[in-house]
Amino acid sequence: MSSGEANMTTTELVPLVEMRDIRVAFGGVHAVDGCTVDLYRGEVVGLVGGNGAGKSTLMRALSGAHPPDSGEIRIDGQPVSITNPRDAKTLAIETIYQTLALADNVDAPSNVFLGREVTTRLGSLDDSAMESATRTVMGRLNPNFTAFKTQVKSLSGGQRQAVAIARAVYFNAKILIMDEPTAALGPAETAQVRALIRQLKSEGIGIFLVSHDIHDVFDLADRISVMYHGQIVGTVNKDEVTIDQVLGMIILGKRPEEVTQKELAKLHG
Amino acid sequence: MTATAGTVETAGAQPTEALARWARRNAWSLGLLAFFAALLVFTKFIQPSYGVTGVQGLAISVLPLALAAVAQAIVVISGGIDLSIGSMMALTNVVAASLMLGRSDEFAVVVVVGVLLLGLVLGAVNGALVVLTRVPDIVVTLAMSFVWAGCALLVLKTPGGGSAQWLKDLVLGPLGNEWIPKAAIVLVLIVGLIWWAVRRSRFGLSLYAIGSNQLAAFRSGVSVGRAKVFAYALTGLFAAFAGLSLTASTGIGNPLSGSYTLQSVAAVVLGGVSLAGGRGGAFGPIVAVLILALLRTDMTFLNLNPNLATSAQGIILIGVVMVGTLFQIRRGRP
Repeated sequence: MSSGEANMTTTELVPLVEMRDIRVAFGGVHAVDGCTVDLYRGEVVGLVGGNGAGKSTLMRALSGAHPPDSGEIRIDGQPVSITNPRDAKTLAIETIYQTLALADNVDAPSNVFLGREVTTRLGSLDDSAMESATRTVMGRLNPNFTAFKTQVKSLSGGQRQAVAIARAVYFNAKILIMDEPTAALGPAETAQVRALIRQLKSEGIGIFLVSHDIHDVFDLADRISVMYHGQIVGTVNKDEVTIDQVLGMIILGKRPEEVTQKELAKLHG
Repeated sequence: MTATAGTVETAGAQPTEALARWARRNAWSLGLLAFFAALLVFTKFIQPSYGVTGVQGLAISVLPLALAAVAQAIVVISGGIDLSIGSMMALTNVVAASLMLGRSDEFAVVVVVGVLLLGLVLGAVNGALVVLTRVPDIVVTLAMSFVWAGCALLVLKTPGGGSAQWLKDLVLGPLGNEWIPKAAIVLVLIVGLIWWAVRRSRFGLSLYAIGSNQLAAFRSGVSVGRAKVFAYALTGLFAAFAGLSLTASTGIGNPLSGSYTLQSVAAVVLGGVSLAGGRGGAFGPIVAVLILALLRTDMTFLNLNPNLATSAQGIILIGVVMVGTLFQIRRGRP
């Protein structure tokens, strides 16, 4: 917890992640148009914006799912090149997607270890090692989880999200990207995931939280970066703004001090 | 308290629980097996003379299609489809037959190994094209089926060539007990060994993962392209086994050896492999091939027009898939 608070004041520290002037274009559409964001250890940075603002595309540049056209990414101050998800994982960057992206027809341990399977000396899959490791990490995340041998397609949304998070936690993620982590979940499961995010944050993990849900973001984030039409409108400390001000940034694409009274009136209809 | 109860329960009930899970997962294959057994009884009923000869004939006649069905199953599980299996079989069949004609047994061993490698290469070419061009699997493999079929005709214009005697002896006739066909043992050995190795490997897991959700597999760090090429190469290998089994069982090479491609698709669907990918195994399709072959035999015994048998196969296929889907919908909504 103390490390999380320390980061709020010691901005002279090297950020865990710096993304500078990132650009991603799809044909002629500039989905991400010169964005700069950063993230410190033990910090949650909320990334908000309307549909198509470029939040997910910006995060895909960091997770390796869609490399940027230009711009620089630094991890712990070192410039890195991330061209595919495996590069990101070697840098301890893990991603949890809104679509609960799991391989439906295989079981939880196989999903946790997918792409990084544990093998025996003969090179065959070590199922029992993977299962016991999954049991250990799941015991920490969600002690009620017992479905280690069933295909994940028959699990509930919360259980599936737990599998996705277990994957990130097991491999000692330093940087976690959560793309709408609660979008597909019910209220109880949402609360569970929120508690989990706080726990991970207190362990010193830096988290980018992409969300539509402004309350989620206000509840969890230390700083909030607002995106509008592929650009960063601004990054604000959560404690210094109101929900309405952030909503104004999302909808109008302007910082609170730039918003005129007329626009404000229109916004409140 | 609950945790202790849980562990005690799992420790005590593990074997039966595992067995039940296994049965649940393989319910479709077990059902097919039961159906096949019933069909055998029915066959004996309508044709009391059906016996050793019938079983031997069945085994040798299904061997090429059974291997082709396994070939198709591999690539379908990975979420693709290979319409060039029949052509790859024809090509490997004629290459083997033309090279073996009049040559020594030792040379035939080299030919067999070479033809298996050829199958791997043909499949890898298919896979590489699918991955690199990003053209849908069905289009690429359909196009390649013409290429491989053309190559087969270049090698042999008409049926011909020959087979080493030891290769024929490998699949023809019984082994030990007159009821045990060599062809069945060859099938079980080839499929059993390779399938077991695949299921125990990282590649096997990526096969099912890609078939389930290619995007999720990619985001998890699976090398999707490499796994796909591997899947197609393995399919090519099994197509080569199938082609060689044709050479062995017929003793010659035939550049136009029949409609194995679509029959392999039929067997895969009937065998419980989802065309959507990610589900199924090698056992179901093999039993499906046995059922389809035995049905054809039964129709001959019943003096039905053999052309009708082909139509009947199609109707059975649609019926089975419909019933299967119905069960799935039922299970989905308890």
